[in-house]
Amino acid sequence: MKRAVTTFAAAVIALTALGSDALAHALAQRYDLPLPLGYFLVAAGVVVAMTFVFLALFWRHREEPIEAHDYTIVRGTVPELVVTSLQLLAILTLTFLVVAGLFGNPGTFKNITPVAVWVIWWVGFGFLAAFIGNIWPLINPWGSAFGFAERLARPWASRLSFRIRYPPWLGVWPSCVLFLLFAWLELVAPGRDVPRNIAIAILIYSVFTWTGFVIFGRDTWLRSGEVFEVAFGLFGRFAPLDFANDGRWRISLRPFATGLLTLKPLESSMTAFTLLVLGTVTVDGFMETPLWAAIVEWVFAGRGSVDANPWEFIALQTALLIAGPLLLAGLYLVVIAFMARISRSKLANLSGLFVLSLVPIAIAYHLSHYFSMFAIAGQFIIPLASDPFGYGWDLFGTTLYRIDIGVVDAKSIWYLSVVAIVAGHIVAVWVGHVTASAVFSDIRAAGRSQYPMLVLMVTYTMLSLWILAQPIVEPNTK
Amino acid sequence: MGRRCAPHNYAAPLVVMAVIATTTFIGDTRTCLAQSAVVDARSFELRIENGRLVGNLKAVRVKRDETVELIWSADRRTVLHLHGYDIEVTVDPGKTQIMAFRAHATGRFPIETHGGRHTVLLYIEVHPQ
Repeated sequence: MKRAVTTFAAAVIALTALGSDALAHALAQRYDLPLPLGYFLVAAGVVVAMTFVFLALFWRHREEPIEAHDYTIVRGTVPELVVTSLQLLAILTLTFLVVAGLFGNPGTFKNITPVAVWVIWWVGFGFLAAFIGNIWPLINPWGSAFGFAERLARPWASRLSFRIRYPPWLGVWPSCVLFLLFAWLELVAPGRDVPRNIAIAILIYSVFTWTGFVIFGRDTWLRSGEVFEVAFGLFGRFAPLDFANDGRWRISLRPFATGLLTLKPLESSMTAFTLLVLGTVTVDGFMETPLWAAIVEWVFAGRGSVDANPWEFIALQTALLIAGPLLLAGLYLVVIAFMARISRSKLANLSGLFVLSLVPIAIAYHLSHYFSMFAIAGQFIIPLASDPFGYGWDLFGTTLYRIDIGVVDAKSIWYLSVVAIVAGHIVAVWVGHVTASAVFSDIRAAGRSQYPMLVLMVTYTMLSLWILAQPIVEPNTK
Repeated sequence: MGRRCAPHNYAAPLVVMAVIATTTFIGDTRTCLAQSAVVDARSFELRIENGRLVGNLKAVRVKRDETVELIWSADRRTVLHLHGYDIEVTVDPGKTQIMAFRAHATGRFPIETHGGRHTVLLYIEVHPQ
């Protein structure tokens, strides 16, 4: 493990010294055109108009209390055989990606691991979790591998973990730290597209996660310290399909976004996690705007090029990655403080109740931001499936497949963005409205309490739209 | 009891807003935000000196399915790569080198110098018809 860390660090340093070759060929490179002014204005106009429509028409109408309302349309059980097969497939895939990353071709696009991890899994699973259903808890390869190991070891040991009591105050704070680290690896780390680095990161994370299982027990650690379980779980609240385990895996269908409604305030660590994810999503887009490029150039003015000071550039990006979510959290708390004053309620309660209402805005933005990248870069999986290690194989006869960069037209993306942003905003306002009318006994206090929240929602939506309307630029070297 | 809700009070501003939005939508679909120095043509002469593009051009804008011709010259040997379309040319001093392609896919594609430093020289914007 120590050696792995050293190797990883060495690889990172070596790559930085080489002049960021990997950065220039960044996998997540996007070719989106900026959203034209007309689309921008229509979306902005409709967003503001719909906010007023909500105020005018629905505000004094009391929603049914959330607890009395079961949104489930149908429910069923996922067959054990399906679950076990998916789990085995997930474990095999993870193992395969580590082996390919370690022993395959070191080129980013000649090895299946970078595309499979960053595009298919991270972006693709995010979409799947948000728009269809979060199947990560079913197939989580770390969780299920540990489960199989416990079953195999049963004749000799009743369990494989010490089950030390997990301190309640720790909540999902471990996941907050891990998510920040993961976001850093995704958005900032040089060498993040190098197959070997990804494989080593997976190995380190696997050992870390299994250690968590051994110390606190599998289910406890999955809830609090397995960052992808927590992150996909957050996106999954928006999805129509919901998976829950009561000994067997139950599946239920519900309308979109109803999973975001809750009467029980989130723990403060989960509120922090949500704000961290929302802030990171925005920082991701902001890093490609001309404004950020101008800031970078301003910081580096008279101090040599970005190339000559790679560590300073990394430090600057890291500062943004931390400052972005903190700024959002600060704004959110100010809004909640106003809300608490207006409605004479407790701040801690309110902050855990309304944070989820911002999630649809972030999901809509995330879709607009990544859809074409997913459609274009995702195609690399077709030739790579035939030659996963980059050894010159042609298993399925698809090695010569050429990526079609015209697979989605800019106009389709613009329409998708406008529709998604407007819909996301409306859903956010609706979630806030239902939550407020369920939480506050006085319907007029409920209405008034939402004014500061609406200001924040419009601001957050406009910021997302503004980023989409910016031409993508890389901070340039002088 | 407070004043009763009166939806018609909100109708007028809403209609005005909708009209403004629609007019802007029809009239201005071709303008991009935050664009500077954009040229509309198909053939471009571009010169590189000291590893940078001469002039203040930041992006070249074409329509989908147009044939684009970029005529390069440079003061030293330079490797250029157009991302997305994935075209690479090497420009030698004293000679011009042409990057020609049919712009079949929309998007905003960077042209970088490769070999040694990677610097974005220019973006090609291919807009929908």
